[in-house]
Amino acid sequence: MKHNIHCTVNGEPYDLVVESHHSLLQVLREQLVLTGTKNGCEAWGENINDLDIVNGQVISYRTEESLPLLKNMVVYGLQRPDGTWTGGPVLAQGRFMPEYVTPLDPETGQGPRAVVHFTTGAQAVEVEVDTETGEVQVLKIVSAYDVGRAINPEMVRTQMEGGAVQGMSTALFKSLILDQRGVPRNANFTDYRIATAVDAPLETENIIIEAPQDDGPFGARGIGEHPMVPNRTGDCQRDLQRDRRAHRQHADQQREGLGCTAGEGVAVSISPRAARRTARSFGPPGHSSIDHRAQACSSQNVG
Amino acid sequence: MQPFDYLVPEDLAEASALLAGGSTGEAGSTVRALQGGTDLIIRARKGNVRQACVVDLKVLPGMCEMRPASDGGLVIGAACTMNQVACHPLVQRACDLLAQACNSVASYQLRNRATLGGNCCNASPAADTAPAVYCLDAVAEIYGPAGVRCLPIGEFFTGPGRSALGRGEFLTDLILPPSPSGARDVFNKLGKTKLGDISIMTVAEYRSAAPTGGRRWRIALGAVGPTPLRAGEAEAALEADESPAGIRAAAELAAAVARPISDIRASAGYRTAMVRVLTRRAVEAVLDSGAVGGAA
Repeated sequence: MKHNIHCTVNGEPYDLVVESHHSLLQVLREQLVLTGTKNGCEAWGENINDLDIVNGQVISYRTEESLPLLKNMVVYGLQRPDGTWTGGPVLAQGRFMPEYVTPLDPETGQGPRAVVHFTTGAQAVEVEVDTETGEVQVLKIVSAYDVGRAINPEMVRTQMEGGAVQGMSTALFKSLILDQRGVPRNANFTDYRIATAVDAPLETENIIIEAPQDDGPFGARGIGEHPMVPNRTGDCQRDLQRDRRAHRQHADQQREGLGCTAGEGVAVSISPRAARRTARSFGPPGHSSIDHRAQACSSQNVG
Repeated sequence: MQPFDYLVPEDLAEASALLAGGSTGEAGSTVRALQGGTDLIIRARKGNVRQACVVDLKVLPGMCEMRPASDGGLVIGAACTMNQVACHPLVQRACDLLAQACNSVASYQLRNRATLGGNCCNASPAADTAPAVYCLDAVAEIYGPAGVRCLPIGEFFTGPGRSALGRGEFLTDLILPPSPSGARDVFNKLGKTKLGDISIMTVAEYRSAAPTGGRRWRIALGAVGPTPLRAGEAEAALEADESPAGIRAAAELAAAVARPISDIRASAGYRTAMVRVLTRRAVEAVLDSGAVGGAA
């Protein structure tokens, strides 16, 4: 049997059709989706205002007793003294919306708080370059990022690693080629090459720094696109495309692909001559066509 | 993709007659030969090829078979897949450079589909197996209205996308001559990424004992000319002198043969420079890979 009910919850009026056997808790949780509503106080015979959580224990200020929080409570709810259960699984929803982000001034392109956060990090890249062909083997990329709070640390690390490989792919392979009319000449994945598993660095190391962001959720800040920024090349390639003889151009592009951007988003490129000075020979004697060098760069960028 | 009829011929003669019904090998033709279809279907989907019907050649007897030839060589049916060729023990033992070339094409999945004969008939200047079969002195066996004819593979490739196949003709076999014991070979490919890229350039090299004593070199280059190229003068230079100076001279002579174009993959200058480098490295790899009968 069903009943038509008019009620006001949290100041909002509702007209509901309610099954006669449903409890108030079921109506609040299931029909109004107020999934934070719990029946715990009923199970323990307590008023919620008398309860607190201290060191993983629920304590009652009224009885001065403590109740252990058990993992089963998350799934089954709370057990009454007679062994039956109430409350059901813990369900909740939440959101983070940075409402303080300001628009950009059309004149200056700046704003008082134009972004959600700044994420700071650094990467160091160790590469081996075949100086005859320009082929690059990335030996190792080490990334360190201040993520505020790593809510899922393993996911943060894989994001850093994936970003590093994608940035490497941009530096070494990705290039949109336009014809004289501006039409892409490589608008497919046969001609627009990206790194695959075999092109990835032989080794990556991903270091999480946690200095909390005071207005981020749980102190977290973004680590989405940031990990691919530092080792991306951009300006380095453009510099090199000037005044290079044809075949050297390709080799140098690849060789210098792993340029860097440094603090505050300023792009820094290393000239081939300077790069050769910093190069050390690597490998057994006689393999002088392999250059080996490490380069560190840092970035601060926004999300 | 424009709809088309898919035709399965009963025998070689019917296949030839069906192919002769349209002008194969020219733009705008209406009848197309199908082997693996990895080029044809993509080009048809893009509208670069407008086919009214497609004749499936891989169903014909022997087209997907590999068998030893009576003279000790190897007969490879034109519709044998890249993986089939690359995995075959006779190929790995006698002419591993062909296995290396097949393995350098695209991805494993695609190599289950793409065929050696299709790669050759497609006649892309960047075809990876073309310099390999050229280096191995393969012979193309062709079936056509006039019957069977054999053509040295060097005469099979006539230009970008063009082969010596005439109206109603198709490739049935690639015949590899016997490989003397102690022969060594290598295939080097330069792409932008490590796997599966279309070649910037390739080089195939083969060294064996010459019947008259001394040694015989064969060097073929890919993606640096309208067809795969043989570097005859470089071969002769190596036969005379395998010292480091001789190797450098041969690499220069190979680079002089190259007639590359500039395209989205690389400039002509870079390609020529890479012929020099990869030819030298391939010679060194062949010489490092073991003693050869008749070696100096």
